Amino acid sequence: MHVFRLVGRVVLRHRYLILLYVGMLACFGFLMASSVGSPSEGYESSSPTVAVIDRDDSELSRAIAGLVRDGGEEVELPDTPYALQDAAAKDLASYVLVIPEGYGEALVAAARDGAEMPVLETVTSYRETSAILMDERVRAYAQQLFALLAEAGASVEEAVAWAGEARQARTEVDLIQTEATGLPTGYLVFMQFSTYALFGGVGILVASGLRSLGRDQAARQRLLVAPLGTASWGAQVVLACLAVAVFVWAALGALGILWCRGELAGVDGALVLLAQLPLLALSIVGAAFGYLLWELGSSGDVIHAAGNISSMVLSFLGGTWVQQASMGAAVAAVGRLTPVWWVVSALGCVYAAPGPSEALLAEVATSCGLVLLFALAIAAAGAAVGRARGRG
Amino acid sequence: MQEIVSVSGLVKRYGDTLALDHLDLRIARGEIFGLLGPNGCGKTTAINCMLQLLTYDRGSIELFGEPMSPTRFDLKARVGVVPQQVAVLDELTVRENVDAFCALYVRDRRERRRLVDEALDFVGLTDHARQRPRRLSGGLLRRLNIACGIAHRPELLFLDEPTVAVDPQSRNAILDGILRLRDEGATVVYTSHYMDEVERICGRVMIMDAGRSVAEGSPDELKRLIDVGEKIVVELAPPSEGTLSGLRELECVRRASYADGELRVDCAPAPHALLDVLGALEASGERPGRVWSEPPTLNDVFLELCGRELRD
Repeated sequence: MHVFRLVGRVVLRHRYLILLYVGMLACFGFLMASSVGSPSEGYESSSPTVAVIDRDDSELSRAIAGLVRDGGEEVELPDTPYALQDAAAKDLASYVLVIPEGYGEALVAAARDGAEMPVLETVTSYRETSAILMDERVRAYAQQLFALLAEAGASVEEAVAWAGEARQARTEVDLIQTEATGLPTGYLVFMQFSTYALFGGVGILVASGLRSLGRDQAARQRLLVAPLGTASWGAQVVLACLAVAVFVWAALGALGILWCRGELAGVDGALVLLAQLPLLALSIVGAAFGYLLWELGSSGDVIHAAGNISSMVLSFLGGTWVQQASMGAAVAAVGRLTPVWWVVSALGCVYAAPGPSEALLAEVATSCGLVLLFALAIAAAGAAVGRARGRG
Repeated sequence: MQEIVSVSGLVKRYGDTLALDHLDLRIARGEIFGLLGPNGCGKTTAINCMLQLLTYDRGSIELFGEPMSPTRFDLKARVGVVPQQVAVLDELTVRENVDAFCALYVRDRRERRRLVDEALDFVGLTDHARQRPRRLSGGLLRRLNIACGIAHRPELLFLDEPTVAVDPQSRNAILDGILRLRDEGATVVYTSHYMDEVERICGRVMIMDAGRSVAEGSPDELKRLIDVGEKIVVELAPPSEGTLSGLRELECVRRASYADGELRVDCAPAPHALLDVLGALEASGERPGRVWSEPPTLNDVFLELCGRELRD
């Protein structure tokens, strides 16, 4: 087991890499987790400051203007180009709606003739999401009126009345407290962001450590002439890579639990352990990636660049930065071809579960299996490269 | 005397290039055997084949009287290698480096500690044992490189240009160390481009070119192989053209030239060349100052056998 110990010792001597890829990235994970607010019991919607310029003054335009006024705090603006520009520039109103003259008639005509809906002029502040939401509401309301006029053959008065009734409809929402406590959101976010360190950090540590052993032909020669079989050498290198992966995984896991110990107080330990399993599988993928980089004969700069860039891409495609559910179909399709996707997916399952169950275990195990297949494929590629390069 | 290395009819091809062309080599126990040749002549290929780092197309290799193969770990355990490039781990200290490479051969920790201490003492690095390699000078690094190769007390040691880019003091220490290893029973295969070193420490020398052995023997035997005699240098006031042409007509003189106050005369092997040259100068009325004569060196042998033209 001498080679195993030697690799381990050399990797542990890369203290600045451990500090950077375990310590600093853990801090980054904590930072991201801190930005997640704890769920509150009440709900309070924010309303934008709005201004309406109604140049049409028809029944339809008044209905739309009413919707805007009801949903925001109105500020008065004169209908001059200067005032509108000033409002946008100085953020006097975060949402400005301009209903052009003849809009109502044009909307009715378009609905009856099956033509395109006329356009409303709007100015939306990029600083406030409530303004963007207001814009969406106005468009939806105008489309609703348009549809009632077109499909239902309603008169203007009927369309306004029916749309008004629809606006009054509400769904009652209650917060139900359950006894079981799932994983806290902050801990989930920390685990999601630790995928970067577990793939890239482990990969860089493994590749840098192994590179130290065989930095040049001479060092490699010295190891190869020793009375040590290639199978024993290979097995010890693989074990050392796995040990590095487990070390980083354990370190990040311990830091996460330490940091979130308050929130994790009531959580079932088995659930936390289940959440850690896909991360362990990912760290093994990272080790395989580091092994591949080493066998490719990558320089130090290439190792760092490849480790960081691939981690960034994979963590994005995997759903660390953008939720998987919010991804476009094409991005999600590509994301499924990455190990981080299945890790984040498994973490999502554990997060959604109130407690450990056989079904959850099966789901996590399946994801881990898929992730380990990536490790196997990458390691096999590394071994093939190694054989090709070592042929005399 | 027991043969430690026995290579017969070794052939190694890289595609269409013949790197080793039926190479035969015998090295006896306790010898320091010099392997010389221009770059690309096949020295390193031959050593790598002996160490089983390379496969070969034909021939046989025996170490310690037994056929060598990649899985003969018992034979590999008796061999040490000091590569030309310094091959140590920057992350480990001097002592840890020696221990790391020694541990590939010696498992017993206590035994290893003793061997590492001895190796450090042997190369004079005991005081630097806790330093990292990057803090060592070039000469000390070379000595560490050697310590890593000899710590497990190999019976057969391959030294590939161990004195490249080191100062004269370190070189001297390294060469003395190699002689001590020989005295302690090790057999050494030594490659170098420094002919004076080879002449100083090697009992036998093989000169290789184009994958073949072109000459083999002791340094003195090799010098007798070539048609080159002594070089005579005479401090002299500028001689007349008649003096130079008179010298060139002497049977023992190959070349005679004058530059920077010195007359240089290259002679063919002849018993009284110095007397003949001085006699010719006296007959021409020249008044020589200091005179010295250099016998032929291994360098002359090398250039004579391998040619003076530059190689790629």
